[in-house]
Amino acid sequence: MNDGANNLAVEKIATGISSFDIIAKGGLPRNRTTLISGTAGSGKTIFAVQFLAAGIELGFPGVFVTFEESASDIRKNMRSFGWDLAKWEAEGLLAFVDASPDPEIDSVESGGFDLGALLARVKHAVKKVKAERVAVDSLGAVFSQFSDQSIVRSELFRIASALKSIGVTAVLTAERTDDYGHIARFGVEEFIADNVMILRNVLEDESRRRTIEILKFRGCDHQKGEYPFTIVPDGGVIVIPLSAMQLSMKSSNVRISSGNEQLDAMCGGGLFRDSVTLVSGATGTGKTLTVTQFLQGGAKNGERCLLLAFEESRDQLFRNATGWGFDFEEMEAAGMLRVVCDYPDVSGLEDWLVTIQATIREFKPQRVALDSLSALEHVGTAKAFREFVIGLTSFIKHEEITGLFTSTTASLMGGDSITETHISTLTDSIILLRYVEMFGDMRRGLTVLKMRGSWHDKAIREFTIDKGGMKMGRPFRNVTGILAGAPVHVSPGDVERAWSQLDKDSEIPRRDSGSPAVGEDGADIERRRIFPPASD
Amino acid sequence: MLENPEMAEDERILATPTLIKSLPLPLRRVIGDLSDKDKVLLGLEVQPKPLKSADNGVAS
Repeated sequence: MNDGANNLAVEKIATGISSFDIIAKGGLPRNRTTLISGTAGSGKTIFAVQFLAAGIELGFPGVFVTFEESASDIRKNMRSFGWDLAKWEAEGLLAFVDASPDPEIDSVESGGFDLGALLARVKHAVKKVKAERVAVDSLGAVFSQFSDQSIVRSELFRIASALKSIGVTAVLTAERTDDYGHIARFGVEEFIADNVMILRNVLEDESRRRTIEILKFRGCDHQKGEYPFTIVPDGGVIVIPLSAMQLSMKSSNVRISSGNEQLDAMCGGGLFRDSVTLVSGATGTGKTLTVTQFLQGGAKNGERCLLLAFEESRDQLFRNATGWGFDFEEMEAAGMLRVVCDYPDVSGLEDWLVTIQATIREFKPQRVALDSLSALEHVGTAKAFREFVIGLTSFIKHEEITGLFTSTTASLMGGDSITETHISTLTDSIILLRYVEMFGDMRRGLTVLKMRGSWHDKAIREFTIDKGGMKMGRPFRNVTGILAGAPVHVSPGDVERAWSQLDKDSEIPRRDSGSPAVGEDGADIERRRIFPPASD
Repeated sequence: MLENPEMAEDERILATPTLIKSLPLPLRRVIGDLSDKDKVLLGLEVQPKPLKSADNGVAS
């Protein structure tokens, strides 16, 4: 193929479509045609219009050739996305070539024909608005307007080549019958196959999941595989580029308070800024309290906090906070707190991610708490959920926000949840809250399981909840098997023997034993101040 | 068409050649090189003249 004097690599143009340019590694190849194939309702027309709308916003006029919906329908339908096509037409930035079937016109074919008139109209429109971008929607509809398919096929090929030669970048949509099957109906990919993209709208476990895949970009690079995307009002297609987002994550050593001095000490001095902490526990173990403390701690330091609550109503949350001695209403009135309360099922996970990102961009919080991830787990498939968590964690880290997510374990005693197995590797810190059964009492235990890049307390400490929040007590030294969900009591003599053996092996001075340490130093005094001996 | 694409736009013509019958109504279009005579006549709603034409072509 002759690309003229251009012997450089294929140039790309930034489409301006949110995040699409990331997965396309720069955008669509310039002066080429790209086939967008998808099933009914997969978002082809929206993508095609958005390609033009984003171009017009960047200062590149466009032409829309429609074979399916009439121009007036498209103008009306695209209003909801915030694109005023009629205004752009009046300003000479957009031109329609309306080749949609007109029910008023009855026509018959009598012998050979070509689509020369259509090509002349397209060329004329391109010239009229000095278009840089052309969208054609959709190729399949051309076939249904004429009975002689071989003529249509060769004529479409002629139009596609003509678009290339007049120096516009074009997207052409095509239908497919299956989300996983032939690329497009009528084999259109065979003649317009420089670049092929596929939009999917797959039904999985009763919920729809949209993905976009770049199948090929002839002569240039792109991200591979399916990427989830969503279509939102006032924005159109928003691609969620998972792998691309993770690359630019930063990491800082600044510590911030979890809102509880004792918990900070257990974490080795507080949580890291731009880290994500997972708090896992059975129902009633104190997850929402941890969240409340975290928000209170932020507001006290003059940090804006965002709470995404999917389990409890606003009133409940505020009442709980009051019970623990925190005033959410005052924090909210001071503009330090925003609470987003909603049923998790009101929208899909991709939509949630986009909504949450938009809220974060607008409110600019320094802390984000989500209570709970488990409530969102059932909204989509396991894969969609994992993508949601990846998307959210990388986004909040990128924005240098501290995140605290909760997850509910299914069993009361010990055990882990599907949520954890899916996301534990994505979070920087994990705090476990567990019930511990002791001689007919349910006690609560807390341990810092993981704290990426930091020393942390390895003990499982008992804690109590009263007005004022969480109070840490002594470690459960004579109980073993708490995390496994089967606590076994060990006699104090056995505990001493086991520990002396461990200390000898590791040569690390033993800390936090029930008996006072022999030569107390400053650190021990500080430790005793933070963790006063339990008063029971 | 090539000289006056505005006209093609107004008439919403895609294919060349296209023959448009605008009067008498209804509007009819015949696409193609008119090589298929039967289709042309059908498209234009014109019946071949019957031998004895008293009726207006309702009979076939």
